Amino acid sequence: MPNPEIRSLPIAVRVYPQQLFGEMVSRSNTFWMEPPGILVIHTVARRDARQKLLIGSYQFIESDRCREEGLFYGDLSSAESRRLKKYTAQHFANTDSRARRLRVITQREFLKLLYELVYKARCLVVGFNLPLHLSRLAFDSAPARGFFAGGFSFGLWTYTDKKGRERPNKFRPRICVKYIDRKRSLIGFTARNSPDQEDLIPEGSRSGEPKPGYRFPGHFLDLRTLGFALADEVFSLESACAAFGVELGHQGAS
Amino acid sequence: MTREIFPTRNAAAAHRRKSVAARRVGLGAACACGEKRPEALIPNVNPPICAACQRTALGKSAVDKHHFASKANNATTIHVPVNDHRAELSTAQADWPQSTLRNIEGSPLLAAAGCVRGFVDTILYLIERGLLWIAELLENLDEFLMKQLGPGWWIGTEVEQFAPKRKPHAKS
Repeated sequence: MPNPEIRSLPIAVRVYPQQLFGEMVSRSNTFWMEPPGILVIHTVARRDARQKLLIGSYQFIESDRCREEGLFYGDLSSAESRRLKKYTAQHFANTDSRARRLRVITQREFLKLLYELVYKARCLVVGFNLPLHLSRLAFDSAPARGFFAGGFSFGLWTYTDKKGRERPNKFRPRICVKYIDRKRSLIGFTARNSPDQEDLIPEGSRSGEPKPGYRFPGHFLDLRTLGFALADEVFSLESACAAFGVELGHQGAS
Repeated sequence: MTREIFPTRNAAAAHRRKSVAARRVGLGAACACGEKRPEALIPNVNPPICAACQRTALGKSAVDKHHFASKANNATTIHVPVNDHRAELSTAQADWPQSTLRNIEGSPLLAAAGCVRGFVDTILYLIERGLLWIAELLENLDEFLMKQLGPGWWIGTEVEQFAPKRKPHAKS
Protein backbone atom coordinates (compact mmCIF):
# COMPACT_ATOMS: atom_id res chain seq x y z
CA MET A 1 0.00 0.00 0.00
CA PRO A 2 1.59 3.32 -1.06
CA ASN A 3 2.12 5.96 1.61
CA PRO A 4 -0.62 8.58 1.35
CA GLU A 5 0.65 12.07 0.77
CA ILE A 6 -0.15 14.36 3.67
CA ARG A 7 -1.07 17.84 2.52
CA SER A 8 -2.33 20.73 4.57
CA LEU A 9 -5.59 22.27 3.47
CA PRO A 10 -7.01 25.62 4.50
CA ILE A 11 -10.23 25.26 6.44
CA ALA A 12 -12.75 27.82 7.57
CA VAL A 13 -14.85 27.49 10.71
CA ARG A 14 -18.00 29.52 11.13
CA VAL A 15 -18.70 30.27 14.78
CA TYR A 16 -21.79 31.77 16.37
CA PRO A 17 -20.69 32.81 19.86
CA GLN A 18 -23.51 33.18 22.35
CA GLN A 19 -22.91 35.71 25.10
CA LEU A 20 -24.20 34.89 28.52
CA PHE A 21 -26.50 37.55 29.91
CA GLY A 22 -24.30 38.27 32.92
CA GLU A 23 -21.19 38.68 30.78
CA MET A 24 -22.79 40.91 28.21
CA VAL A 25 -20.70 44.01 27.63
CA SER A 26 -22.55 46.18 25.18
CA ARG A 27 -20.83 49.16 23.66
CA SER A 28 -24.15 50.62 22.62
CA ASN A 29 -27.67 50.32 23.95
CA THR A 30 -28.95 48.78 20.73
CA PHE A 31 -28.27 45.05 21.20
CA TRP A 32 -30.98 42.74 19.95
CA MET A 33 -32.66 40.15 22.11
CA GLU A 34 -34.96 37.49 20.76
CA PRO A 35 -38.52 38.41 21.72
CA PRO A 36 -40.33 35.71 23.75
CA GLY A 37 -43.44 35.99 21.56
CA ILE A 38 -43.77 35.33 17.83
CA LEU A 39 -46.67 36.13 15.54
CA VAL A 40 -46.62 34.23 12.25
CA ILE A 41 -48.86 35.61 9.53
CA HIS A 42 -49.87 34.73 6.00
CA THR A 43 -52.51 36.31 3.79
CA VAL A 44 -54.32 35.57 0.55
CA ALA A 45 -55.67 38.39 -1.62
CA ARG A 46 -58.35 38.56 -4.27
CA ARG A 47 -57.07 38.10 -7.79
CA ASP A 48 -57.98 41.51 -9.10
CA ALA A 49 -56.19 44.82 -9.58
CA ARG A 50 -56.84 46.02 -6.00
CA GLN A 51 -55.62 42.78 -4.38
CA LYS A 52 -57.77 43.30 -1.31
CA LEU A 53 -57.39 40.91 1.58
CA LEU A 54 -59.50 37.79 1.19
CA ILE A 55 -58.35 35.70 4.10
CA GLY A 56 -55.33 35.31 6.34
CA SER A 57 -54.02 32.99 8.99
CA TYR A 58 -51.97 33.60 12.11
CA GLN A 59 -50.25 31.69 14.87
CA PHE A 60 -49.17 33.19 18.16
CA ILE A 61 -46.19 31.35 19.64
CA GLU A 62 -44.96 32.01 23.16
CA SER A 63 -41.91 30.26 24.63
CA ASP A 64 -41.85 27.81 21.70
CA ARG A 65 -45.48 26.79 22.29
CA CYS A 66 -48.35 27.67 19.99
CA ARG A 67 -50.84 29.51 22.21
CA GLU A 68 -53.35 30.63 19.63
CA GLU A 69 -54.11 29.92 16.00
CA GLY A 70 -56.75 31.47 13.85
CA LEU A 71 -58.03 32.92 10.62
CA PHE A 72 -58.99 36.47 9.76
CA TYR A 73 -60.97 37.68 6.82
CA GLY A 74 -61.73 40.79 4.78
CA ASP A 75 -65.02 41.40 3.01
CA LEU A 76 -66.45 37.97 2.18
CA SER A 77 -69.46 37.04 0.08
CA SER A 78 -72.10 34.86 1.72
CA ALA A 79 -70.81 31.80 -0.19
CA GLU A 80 -67.25 32.51 1.02
CA SER A 81 -68.51 32.96 4.58
CA ARG A 82 -70.26 29.59 4.43
CA ARG A 83 -67.09 27.95 3.13
CA LEU A 84 -65.06 29.52 5.94
CA LYS A 85 -67.60 28.36 8.54
CA LYS A 86 -67.44 24.83 7.13
CA TYR A 87 -63.64 24.87 7.18
CA THR A 88 -63.43 26.01 10.80
CA ALA A 89 -65.96 23.36 11.85
CA GLN A 90 -63.78 20.63 10.35
CA HIS A 91 -60.33 21.82 11.41
CA PHE A 92 -58.76 22.28 14.81
CA ALA A 93 -56.12 24.74 15.96
CA ASN A 94 -52.62 23.41 16.42
CA THR A 95 -52.30 24.70 19.98
CA ASP A 96 -51.39 23.11 23.30
CA SER A 97 -54.44 24.58 24.96
CA ARG A 98 -57.44 22.46 25.94
CA ALA A 99 -59.71 24.59 23.78
CA ARG A 100 -58.36 23.73 20.35
CA ARG A 101 -60.88 25.84 18.51
CA LEU A 102 -59.65 27.69 15.45
CA ARG A 103 -60.34 31.35 16.19
CA VAL A 104 -62.02 33.28 13.38
CA ILE A 105 -61.86 37.07 13.52
CA THR A 106 -62.41 40.02 11.23
CA GLN A 107 -59.58 42.02 9.68
CA ARG A 108 -60.22 44.84 12.16
CA GLU A 109 -60.00 42.45 15.13
CA PHE A 110 -56.81 40.99 13.73
CA LEU A 111 -55.29 44.45 13.35
CA LYS A 112 -56.07 45.08 17.03
CA LEU A 113 -54.32 41.80 17.89
CA LEU A 114 -51.38 42.76 15.67
CA TYR A 115 -51.03 46.10 17.46
CA GLU A 116 -51.26 44.50 20.91
CA LEU A 117 -48.70 41.80 20.14
CA VAL A 118 -46.29 43.36 17.68
CA TYR A 119 -46.19 46.95 18.96
CA LYS A 120 -47.26 46.83 22.62
CA ALA A 121 -45.79 43.43 23.56
CA ARG A 122 -42.93 43.76 21.04
CA CYS A 123 -43.32 40.31 19.55
CA LEU A 124 -41.49 39.17 16.45
CA VAL A 125 -43.71 39.13 13.38
CA VAL A 126 -42.78 36.48 10.85
CA GLY A 127 -44.00 35.91 7.31
CA PHE A 128 -42.81 34.85 3.90
CA ASN A 129 -42.56 37.96 1.75
CA LEU A 130 -43.70 39.95 4.77
CA PRO A 131 -43.97 43.38 3.05
CA LEU A 132 -46.61 41.94 0.72
CA HIS A 133 -48.73 40.66 3.63
CA LEU A 134 -48.39 43.95 5.49
CA SER A 135 -49.46 45.87 2.38
CA ARG A 136 -52.58 43.69 2.10
CA LEU A 137 -53.53 44.68 5.64
CA ALA A 138 -52.98 48.39 4.97
CA PHE A 139 -55.77 50.93 4.79
CA ASP A 140 -53.67 53.54 2.99
CA SER A 141 -50.15 54.02 1.70
CA ALA A 142 -47.87 57.01 1.18
CA PRO A 143 -44.25 57.65 0.23
CA ALA A 144 -42.07 57.09 3.28
CA ARG A 145 -39.81 59.78 4.69
CA GLY A 146 -36.59 59.95 6.69
CA PHE A 147 -34.75 56.67 7.13
CA PHE A 148 -37.22 54.88 4.85
CA ALA A 149 -37.23 57.59 2.14
CA GLY A 150 -37.82 55.97 -1.25
CA GLY A 151 -40.00 53.28 0.32
CA PHE A 152 -43.64 52.94 1.30
CA SER A 153 -45.44 53.95 4.46
CA PHE A 154 -48.51 51.85 5.26
CA GLY A 155 -51.27 52.92 7.59
CA LEU A 156 -52.88 49.81 9.05
CA TRP A 157 -54.96 51.14 11.91
CA THR A 158 -58.00 53.32 11.42
CA TYR A 159 -60.90 54.87 13.31
CA THR A 160 -64.38 55.91 12.24
CA ASP A 161 -65.06 59.62 12.55
CA LYS A 162 -68.34 61.32 13.51
CA LYS A 163 -69.51 61.29 9.89
CA GLY A 164 -68.93 57.56 9.69
CA ARG A 165 -65.83 57.80 7.49
CA GLU A 166 -62.85 55.54 8.08
CA ARG A 167 -59.73 57.60 8.76
CA PRO A 168 -56.08 56.71 9.47
CA ASN A 169 -55.41 56.61 13.21
CA LYS A 170 -52.55 58.98 14.08
CA PHE A 171 -52.35 57.48 17.56
CA ARG A 172 -51.11 54.25 16.02
CA PRO A 173 -47.74 53.85 14.30
CA ARG A 174 -47.42 53.32 10.55
CA ILE A 175 -45.26 50.59 9.08
CA CYS A 176 -42.59 51.62 6.59
CA VAL A 177 -41.08 49.27 4.02
CA LYS A 178 -38.08 50.02 1.85
CA TYR A 179 -36.87 47.44 -0.61
CA ILE A 180 -33.10 47.05 -0.91
CA ASP A 181 -33.46 44.41 -3.62
CA ARG A 182 -35.89 41.59 -4.37
CA LYS A 183 -34.53 39.52 -1.48
CA ARG A 184 -34.18 42.09 1.23
CA SER A 185 -36.20 44.96 2.62
CA LEU A 186 -36.10 47.25 5.61
CA ILE A 187 -39.28 47.21 7.69
CA GLY A 188 -40.05 49.31 10.75
CA PHE A 189 -42.63 51.21 12.75
CA THR A 190 -42.83 54.98 12.61
CA ALA A 191 -43.42 57.11 15.69
CA ARG A 192 -47.00 57.77 16.81
CA ASN A 193 -48.80 60.60 18.54
CA SER A 194 -48.99 60.45 22.35
CA PRO A 195 -47.18 57.15 22.96
CA ASP A 196 -47.69 55.50 26.35
CA GLN A 197 -44.83 55.67 28.84
CA GLU A 198 -44.13 51.94 28.46
CA ASP A 199 -43.70 52.40 24.68
CA LEU A 200 -40.86 54.86 25.32
CA ILE A 201 -38.77 52.33 27.22
CA PRO A 202 -35.90 51.34 24.93
CA GLU A 203 -35.33 47.70 24.03
CA GLY A 204 -33.16 45.91 26.59
CA SER A 205 -33.39 48.75 29.11
CA ARG A 206 -32.21 47.63 32.53
CA SER A 207 -33.70 50.56 34.39
CA GLY A 208 -37.11 50.54 32.71
CA GLU A 209 -37.02 54.32 32.44
CA PRO A 210 -38.88 55.86 29.49
CA LYS A 211 -36.65 57.79 27.09
CA PRO A 212 -38.45 60.78 25.54
CA GLY A 213 -38.45 60.58 21.75
CA TYR A 214 -37.69 56.86 21.63
CA ARG A 215 -39.36 55.05 18.73
CA PHE A 216 -39.76 51.29 18.89
CA PRO A 217 -38.69 50.06 15.42
CA GLY A 218 -40.41 46.68 15.68
CA HIS A 219 -39.20 43.12 15.12
CA PHE A 220 -39.96 41.92 11.60
CA LEU A 221 -38.61 38.75 10.02
CA ASP A 222 -39.12 38.09 6.33
CA LEU A 223 -38.61 34.37 5.70
CA ARG A 224 -37.66 35.05 2.10
CA THR A 225 -34.64 37.01 3.37
CA LEU A 226 -33.85 34.33 5.95
CA GLY A 227 -34.01 31.63 3.26
CA PHE A 228 -31.67 33.65 1.08
CA ALA A 229 -29.27 34.18 4.01
CA LEU A 230 -29.21 30.46 4.81
CA ALA A 231 -29.11 28.94 1.32
CA ASP A 232 -27.95 31.78 -0.97
CA GLU A 233 -31.00 31.14 -3.13
CA VAL A 234 -34.12 33.14 -3.84
CA PHE A 235 -37.04 30.91 -2.87
CA SER A 236 -40.72 31.03 -3.58
CA LEU A 237 -42.89 29.84 -0.67
CA GLU A 238 -43.34 26.45 -2.35
CA SER A 239 -39.64 25.97 -3.09
CA ALA A 240 -38.66 27.17 0.40
CA CYS A 241 -41.02 24.62 1.99
CA ALA A 242 -39.51 21.89 -0.20
CA ALA A 243 -35.92 22.99 0.50
CA PHE A 244 -36.36 23.19 4.29
CA GLY A 245 -38.44 20.01 4.59
CA VAL A 246 -41.76 21.54 5.62
CA GLU A 247 -44.26 18.70 5.33
CA LEU A 248 -47.46 20.72 5.15
CA GLY A 249 -46.17 23.67 3.23
CA HIS A 250 -47.93 26.01 0.89
CA GLN A 251 -50.94 24.25 -0.60
CA GLY A 252 -52.54 27.13 -2.43
CA ALA A 253 -55.92 28.70 -1.77
CA SER A 254 -59.10 27.13 -3.04
CA MET B 1 -47.84 29.07 37.80
CA THR B 2 -51.58 29.27 38.35
CA ARG B 3 -52.00 30.16 34.69
CA GLU B 4 -50.07 26.99 33.76
CA ILE B 5 -52.60 24.83 35.59
CA PHE B 6 -55.53 26.61 34.03
CA PRO B 7 -54.82 28.08 30.55
CA THR B 8 -55.54 31.76 30.01
CA ARG B 9 -58.66 32.86 28.18
CA ASN B 10 -56.76 35.30 26.02
CA ALA B 11 -53.14 34.27 25.52
CA ALA B 12 -52.26 37.37 23.48
CA ALA B 13 -53.56 39.84 26.08
CA ALA B 14 -51.83 37.93 28.89
CA HIS B 15 -48.57 38.05 26.95
CA ARG B 16 -48.92 41.80 26.40
CA ARG B 17 -49.50 42.43 30.11
CA LYS B 18 -46.51 40.29 31.03
CA SER B 19 -44.23 41.95 28.45
CA VAL B 20 -45.19 45.46 29.50
CA ALA B 21 -44.72 44.63 33.19
CA ALA B 22 -41.27 43.15 32.47
CA ARG B 23 -40.24 46.19 30.42
CA ARG B 24 -41.34 48.63 33.15
CA VAL B 25 -39.07 47.12 35.78
CA GLY B 26 -36.12 46.62 33.41
CA LEU B 27 -34.27 43.67 31.97
CA GLY B 28 -33.43 40.92 34.48
CA ALA B 29 -34.63 42.97 37.46
CA ALA B 30 -34.89 41.20 40.82
CA CYS B 31 -35.36 42.32 44.41
CA ALA B 32 -32.66 41.62 47.00
CA CYS B 33 -35.07 39.09 48.56
CA GLY B 34 -35.05 37.07 45.33
CA GLU B 35 -38.45 38.18 44.01
CA LYS B 36 -38.29 38.23 40.21
CA ARG B 37 -41.92 38.39 39.09
CA PRO B 38 -42.18 41.72 37.19
CA GLU B 39 -45.70 42.39 38.48
CA ALA B 40 -44.45 42.20 42.08
CA LEU B 41 -41.57 44.64 41.49
CA ILE B 42 -41.97 48.40 41.76
CA PRO B 43 -41.27 50.16 38.43
CA ASN B 44 -38.63 52.91 38.09
CA VAL B 45 -36.91 52.17 41.39
CA ASN B 46 -33.18 51.60 41.50
CA PRO B 47 -32.07 49.17 42.92
CA PRO B 48 -35.14 47.04 42.11
CA ILE B 49 -37.39 46.34 45.06
CA CYS B 50 -40.53 44.25 45.41
CA ALA B 51 -43.78 45.55 46.89
CA ALA B 52 -43.39 43.43 50.04
CA CYS B 53 -39.88 44.69 50.81
CA GLN B 54 -40.89 48.28 50.08
CA ARG B 55 -43.88 48.03 52.41
CA THR B 56 -41.74 46.45 55.14
CA ALA B 57 -39.12 49.20 54.76
CA LEU B 58 -41.86 51.82 55.16
CA GLY B 59 -43.17 50.06 58.25
CA LYS B 60 -46.39 49.02 56.52
CA SER B 61 -48.07 45.64 56.31
CA ALA B 62 -46.92 43.33 53.49
CA VAL B 63 -50.37 41.70 53.43
CA ASP B 64 -53.17 42.93 51.17
CA LYS B 65 -56.91 42.45 51.27
CA HIS B 66 -57.87 40.86 47.97
CA HIS B 67 -61.42 41.17 46.60
CA PHE B 68 -61.60 37.59 45.40
CA ALA B 69 -64.61 38.21 43.11
CA SER B 70 -63.56 41.80 42.21
CA LYS B 71 -64.80 44.80 44.15
CA ALA B 72 -67.75 45.35 41.80
CA ASN B 73 -69.17 41.87 42.42
CA ASN B 74 -68.63 41.05 46.08
CA ALA B 75 -67.26 42.92 49.10
CA THR B 76 -65.63 39.81 50.59
CA THR B 77 -61.85 40.02 50.90
CA ILE B 78 -59.12 37.53 51.75
CA HIS B 79 -55.68 38.29 53.15
CA VAL B 80 -52.81 37.51 50.78
CA PRO B 81 -49.16 38.56 50.59
CA VAL B 82 -48.85 41.74 48.53
CA ASN B 83 -46.47 40.18 46.00
CA ASP B 84 -48.89 37.31 45.30
CA HIS B 85 -51.77 39.78 45.17
CA ARG B 86 -50.06 41.75 42.43
CA ALA B 87 -48.37 38.92 40.51
CA GLU B 88 -50.90 36.09 40.80
CA LEU B 89 -54.42 37.03 41.81
CA SER B 90 -54.80 40.47 40.19
CA THR B 91 -53.10 39.12 37.06
CA ALA B 92 -55.58 36.26 36.99
CA GLN B 93 -58.47 38.73 37.30
CA ALA B 94 -57.12 40.74 34.37
CA ASP B 95 -57.85 37.67 32.24
CA TRP B 96 -61.57 37.80 33.05
CA PRO B 97 -64.06 39.36 30.65
CA GLN B 98 -64.08 43.11 31.33
CA SER B 99 -67.87 43.07 31.73
CA THR B 100 -67.58 40.57 34.61
CA LEU B 101 -64.61 42.28 36.22
CA ARG B 102 -66.18 45.74 36.22
CA ASN B 103 -69.90 44.87 36.29
CA ILE B 104 -70.80 48.50 35.76
CA GLU B 105 -74.57 47.92 35.77
CA GLY B 106 -74.45 45.72 38.86
CA SER B 107 -75.88 42.64 37.13
CA PRO B 108 -76.52 39.78 39.60
CA LEU B 109 -75.57 37.24 36.92
CA LEU B 110 -72.22 38.88 36.27
CA ALA B 111 -71.69 39.11 40.04
CA ALA B 112 -72.31 35.37 40.27
CA ALA B 113 -69.91 34.79 37.35
CA GLY B 114 -67.33 36.90 39.15
CA CYS B 115 -67.73 34.83 42.32
CA VAL B 116 -67.23 31.60 40.36
CA ARG B 117 -64.17 32.93 38.53
CA GLY B 118 -62.71 34.38 41.73
CA PHE B 119 -63.29 31.14 43.63
CA VAL B 120 -61.55 29.14 40.88
CA ASP B 121 -58.59 31.54 40.81
CA THR B 122 -58.27 31.47 44.60
CA ILE B 123 -58.48 27.67 44.76
CA LEU B 124 -55.82 27.35 42.05
CA TYR B 125 -53.62 29.78 43.98
CA LEU B 126 -54.11 27.78 47.18
CA ILE B 127 -53.47 24.50 45.35
CA GLU B 128 -50.18 25.87 44.11
CA ARG B 129 -49.12 27.44 47.40
CA GLY B 130 -50.61 24.91 49.80
CA LEU B 131 -50.48 21.55 48.02
CA LEU B 132 -48.09 21.34 45.09
CA TRP B 133 -45.01 21.83 47.27
CA ILE B 134 -46.05 18.76 49.29
CA ALA B 135 -46.13 16.64 46.13
CA GLU B 136 -42.65 17.85 45.23
CA LEU B 137 -41.44 17.18 48.80
CA LEU B 138 -42.81 13.60 48.70
CA GLU B 139 -41.14 12.92 45.34
CA ASN B 140 -37.80 14.21 46.58
CA LEU B 141 -38.13 12.27 49.84
CA ASP B 142 -38.89 9.04 47.95
CA GLU B 143 -35.79 9.54 45.81
CA PHE B 144 -33.70 10.19 48.93
CA LEU B 145 -34.99 7.09 50.76
CA MET B 146 -34.48 4.96 47.65
CA LYS B 147 -30.82 6.01 47.60
CA GLN B 148 -30.35 5.57 51.34
CA LEU B 149 -32.29 2.35 51.96
CA GLY B 150 -32.62 0.77 48.52
CA PRO B 151 -35.68 -0.28 46.46
CA GLY B 152 -38.74 -1.33 48.46
CA TRP B 153 -37.55 0.69 51.46
CA TRP B 154 -41.13 0.79 52.81
CA ILE B 155 -41.49 -3.01 53.14
CA GLY B 156 -41.76 -4.04 56.76
CA THR B 157 -42.32 -0.50 57.99
CA GLU B 158 -45.39 1.43 59.14
CA VAL B 159 -45.51 3.01 55.72
CA GLU B 160 -46.20 -0.29 53.94
CA GLN B 161 -49.93 -0.07 54.69
CA PHE B 162 -50.10 2.90 52.30
CA ALA B 163 -48.41 1.06 49.41
CA PRO B 164 -50.71 0.55 46.40
CA LYS B 165 -52.23 -2.92 46.27
CA ARG B 166 -51.02 -4.87 43.28
CA LYS B 167 -52.23 -8.19 41.87
CA PRO B 168 -49.51 -10.84 41.99
CA HIS B 169 -48.08 -11.67 38.56
CA ALA B 170 -49.58 -14.88 37.05
CA LYS B 171 -46.95 -17.62 36.74
CA SER B 172 -46.71 -19.23 33.30
